[in-house]
Amino acid sequence: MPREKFQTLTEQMFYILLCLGEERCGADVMTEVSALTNGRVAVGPGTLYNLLDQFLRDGYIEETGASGRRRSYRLTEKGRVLLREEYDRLRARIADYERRFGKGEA
Amino acid sequence: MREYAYRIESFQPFEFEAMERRLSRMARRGFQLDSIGSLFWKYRREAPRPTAYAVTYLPQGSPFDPQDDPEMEALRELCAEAGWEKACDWGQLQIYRTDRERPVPLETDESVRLAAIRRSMRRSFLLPNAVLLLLVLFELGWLFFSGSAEPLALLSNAAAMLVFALLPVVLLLLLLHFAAYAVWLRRSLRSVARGGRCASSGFCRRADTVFLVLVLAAAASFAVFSAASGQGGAASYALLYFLCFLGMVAALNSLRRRLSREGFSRGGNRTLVIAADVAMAIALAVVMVFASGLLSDGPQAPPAVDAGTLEHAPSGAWDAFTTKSASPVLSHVRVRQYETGGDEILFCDVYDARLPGLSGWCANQLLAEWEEPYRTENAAPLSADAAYHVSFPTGRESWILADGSRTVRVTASFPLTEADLARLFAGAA
Repeated sequence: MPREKFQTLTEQMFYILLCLGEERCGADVMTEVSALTNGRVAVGPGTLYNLLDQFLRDGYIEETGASGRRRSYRLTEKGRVLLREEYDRLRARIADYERRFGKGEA
Repeated sequence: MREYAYRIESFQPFEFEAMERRLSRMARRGFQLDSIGSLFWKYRREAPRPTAYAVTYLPQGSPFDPQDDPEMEALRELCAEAGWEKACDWGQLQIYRTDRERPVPLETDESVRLAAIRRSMRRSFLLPNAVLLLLVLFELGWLFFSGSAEPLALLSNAAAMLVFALLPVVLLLLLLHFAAYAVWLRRSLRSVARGGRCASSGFCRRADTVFLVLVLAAAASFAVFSAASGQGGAASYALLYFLCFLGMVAALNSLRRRLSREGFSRGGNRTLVIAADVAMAIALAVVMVFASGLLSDGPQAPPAVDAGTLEHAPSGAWDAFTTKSASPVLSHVRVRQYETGGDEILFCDVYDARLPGLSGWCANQLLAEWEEPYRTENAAPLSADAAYHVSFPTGRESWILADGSRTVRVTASFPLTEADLARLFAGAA
């Protein structure tokens, strides 16, 4: 079954929104995601472009300015709520895990 | 060595993986993609190197967008940051390349890629192909019903026969494309839902290659058969139509790209291209009407049947009108003669069959055309193999005379003698 739009976030979606907690242009988002995850997660430019476009259209981010061809974006309140919901969901999963196996156990 | 090489590459937009593999392979052989035209993909010769090609999608894009479209530029900027250089675009498809050894892929989230492909496919594949499918079905239905009503008219029309032969192949190809996309989408949805990649497909490219070979074989057979049966005009007509059509597509594509380069808006570009398309289609129709007359393969002189010389016909002036149509299997000449200032008429239809057994079939079709039944007559005095006659309540009479390849129907408003019929049949040779 296809994923319902933004009901849950993929890793890429999560990190892009996370990076846009501060105003950033698209190219900086790619660099920041890589730095934030120690290179574990890389966001491809095609993926980034399409996600920025969808987040923008759905009101999760807003365009804050453009310098030449570079556009800057920032998370909106709606986007913050979405990110928070994802965070809560992840925390709930971790809590469930820890209840089952204990903290730090595998 | 020439700087550019041209190849026919038939991919559907969802076959990104097959496209990437093909382009990367061409680069290793020393061909870098330069642009995509209406028929050919243009490659630039360079030193062979392991360039990686990747495809991404701009779902809201259009082939009519200006070249410096801000959305396209925004994507190009992001790709440049990741080390990708734009090769060219093809509708919503954006093709990039890089010589980096381990580049960050253009697409790193398969669910996003799948969503972008689906949105692109709706606009660039499903909608235009659905319209094309309806047109093909309409044209096939129309040809089928008109062919059923007047099979002789269909068989003696080269263009209609060629279209009638090709349309089912086009229909099959369209249905195969739809089926291939449906299968690909189903497999991709399943795979992505399980955390996998979008499915790989190169089916349409293989199907299109088979289709192209079939069309070329059909066209070559048509040309050879036409020339061998003395119907070179039919083949010339088909070739002229094909070349004009290709020229029209290339000219429209060139106009669209030029307007795009000059910064015309999407709406302006589309309007101008549609206007040019309509004008060219009208011009093509006019050219083909003239060409059908010039390249007609019927006898140049009408059958030597002069109504005024027949025994019971008025000996005054007669007006004659001749129409001709021909295909590699059957030609038809109709001569209609009207008494000037009077009521008498003489119509003569001459069918010349070029396939064994077709003459008898023609005679049977003509015998069944009217409600009044024909009566078999003695054909020997008329130098024919078969003769049939019917008289109508209006006073007119009709004769059908046939031999091995010729079938002649004569309809007159005055009585025809044996000598008249023999002269008419001989004159129609």
